[in-house]
Amino acid sequence: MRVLPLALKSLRNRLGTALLTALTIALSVALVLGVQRIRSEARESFASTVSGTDLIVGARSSPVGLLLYAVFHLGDATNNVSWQSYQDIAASPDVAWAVPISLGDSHRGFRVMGTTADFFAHYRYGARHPLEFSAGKPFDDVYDAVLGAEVAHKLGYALGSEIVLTHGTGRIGSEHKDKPFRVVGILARTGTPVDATVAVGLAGIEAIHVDWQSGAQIPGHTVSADDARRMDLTPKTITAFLLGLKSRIATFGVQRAINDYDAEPLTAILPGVALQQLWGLVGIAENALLLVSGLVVLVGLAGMVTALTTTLGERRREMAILRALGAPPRLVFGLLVLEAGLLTVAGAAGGVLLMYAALAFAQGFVMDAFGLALPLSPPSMLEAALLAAVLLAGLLAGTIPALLAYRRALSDGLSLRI
Amino acid sequence: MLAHCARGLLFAVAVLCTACSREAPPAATVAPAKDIAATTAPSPKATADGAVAARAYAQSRGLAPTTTGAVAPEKPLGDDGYVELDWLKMMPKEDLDALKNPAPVQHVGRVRMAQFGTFNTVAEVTGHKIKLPGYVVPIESDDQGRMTEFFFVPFFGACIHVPPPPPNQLVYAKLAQPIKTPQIWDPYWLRGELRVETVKNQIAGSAYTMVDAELVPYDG
Repeated sequence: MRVLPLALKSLRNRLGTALLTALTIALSVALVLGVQRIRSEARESFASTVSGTDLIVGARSSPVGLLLYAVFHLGDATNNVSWQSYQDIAASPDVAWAVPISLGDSHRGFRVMGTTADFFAHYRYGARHPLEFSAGKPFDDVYDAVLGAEVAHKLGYALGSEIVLTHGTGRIGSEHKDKPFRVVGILARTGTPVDATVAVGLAGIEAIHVDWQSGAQIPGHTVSADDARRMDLTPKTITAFLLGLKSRIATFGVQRAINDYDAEPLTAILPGVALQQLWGLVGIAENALLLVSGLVVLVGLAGMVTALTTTLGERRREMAILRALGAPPRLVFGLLVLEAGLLTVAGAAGGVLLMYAALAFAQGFVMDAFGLALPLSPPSMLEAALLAAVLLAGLLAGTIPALLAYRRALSDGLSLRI
Repeated sequence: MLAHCARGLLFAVAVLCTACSREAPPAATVAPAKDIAATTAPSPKATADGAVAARAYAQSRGLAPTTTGAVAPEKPLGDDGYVELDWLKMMPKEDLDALKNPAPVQHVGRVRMAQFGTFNTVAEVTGHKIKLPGYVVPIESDDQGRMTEFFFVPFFGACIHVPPPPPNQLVYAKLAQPIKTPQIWDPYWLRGELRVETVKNQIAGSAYTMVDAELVPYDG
């Protein structure tokens, strides 16, 4: 007798329980795969965000903090760097290029970054890909803005759109309404935080703040957009800057010199090292999360064992009839293991679908909130291994009810018990 | 996995603590790597004996005596076909001599040691299949976030009072195949052939590079 059709029919007979059991497993599989997916994508996307930059310099702070606010626009700067220090260091003989970054304003939840047009020339991501414009060109005028792909897509902007920047990084705040910016360029998608950034010139950042005193715009003392143009718009401070060196070998020496800079306490970091330090911290939480989701899979499988075992009582007659018809005990064993296997396969398949559905749903939100791209790529080797482990665990779990049924005597199901 | 991570952190802390508590001149900052090397390498005396024997042999054959100081790797070939190289052999003799009279390390106040070291390399250590013990400092990665380029340094996570490794005590390595970025706290063997690359900056000089580098976990 073939066991597979029998197992399928037996499951269909108890469709409700079977579906619920498979759903439990599907949810746990989706959780463990989702955690693994976000974990690896976050690593990939973080690691490929900066390249070609030898050092990142900011006010004295922790390397990880500096990396997060300067590149990922997460969190806030501990302090600013004076324009004088920036120019000093940018002019030192080992430095090939320097790109200043000024943060602190936003546009409808997207961070605004003040920089120079050099940013578009020197910033690299992934395997040293340069930034590309899908439309327009770098900013030139004081009130020009270049949008990241996500900003343009989400807010429906095109070249020539006028945007108003907001003071601070929250969704609401005092708006710089008197000095609107014009979109002159839109960048191609990169999968990095640049996508969720509005880039303007440093002069633009200065211009919108010329009539601000002690953190507020004083009524009656406003300077018009055109008057601001005629003022000295050289910044006094910037938030951080990226450095490219003439020779990579000099990296440690230049880093040392910047950390020892007498005029101002500064921190210079190697992006790759800060990133690894970040993973050193995050790794523990990550592993704990993976462990917990692994335990959830165990709970799901335990639920399946419970469901199969409790039905054994109802199925005493079924087993007895099978045995009476000449089925050997190992067939009963095989039947139950196969049922467990089918439930696990259904659960795992459902889990994979559920995970992709959740990814598709969360993609946009995750990109906005964390600047993290979650592509719907096929399962990785590790994910396939996780699935295989779940299937194996499911089959193993199935042997528990199977052994119980195997050991039950033929007479067990035939004798009347009231 | 969890336990492994925690151990990594503990190790990093331990490295930091030991490095900072050491009242050492800059030459001794290379000590961690040397300590590691000592466990597998022949004793310094044996190496010195070897050098004496080589000189005696050269003289007996009427050849000019070889100079002391920076010399080619003398250690025997390992099982893996690579000769273990001492980091200090990568420093020219003049650099080593200068290090013999260092200023004491200041652990208080704002005074920090300037970075010592030159962009001078030793030709003898290049062109051999060598291996070096040390740490990985990742600098470039590919689209998948896997490491493609890194600095290989003799020590890592040392306290801020002592300078970073001088230019001729690090190797700028490129990988033929990108690999998953290793932990910066884990020791590795770097295997391959050292090359010398001219450095384009205000002071003319050179530095060690390695293309087609290979990383092997350091085990005991």
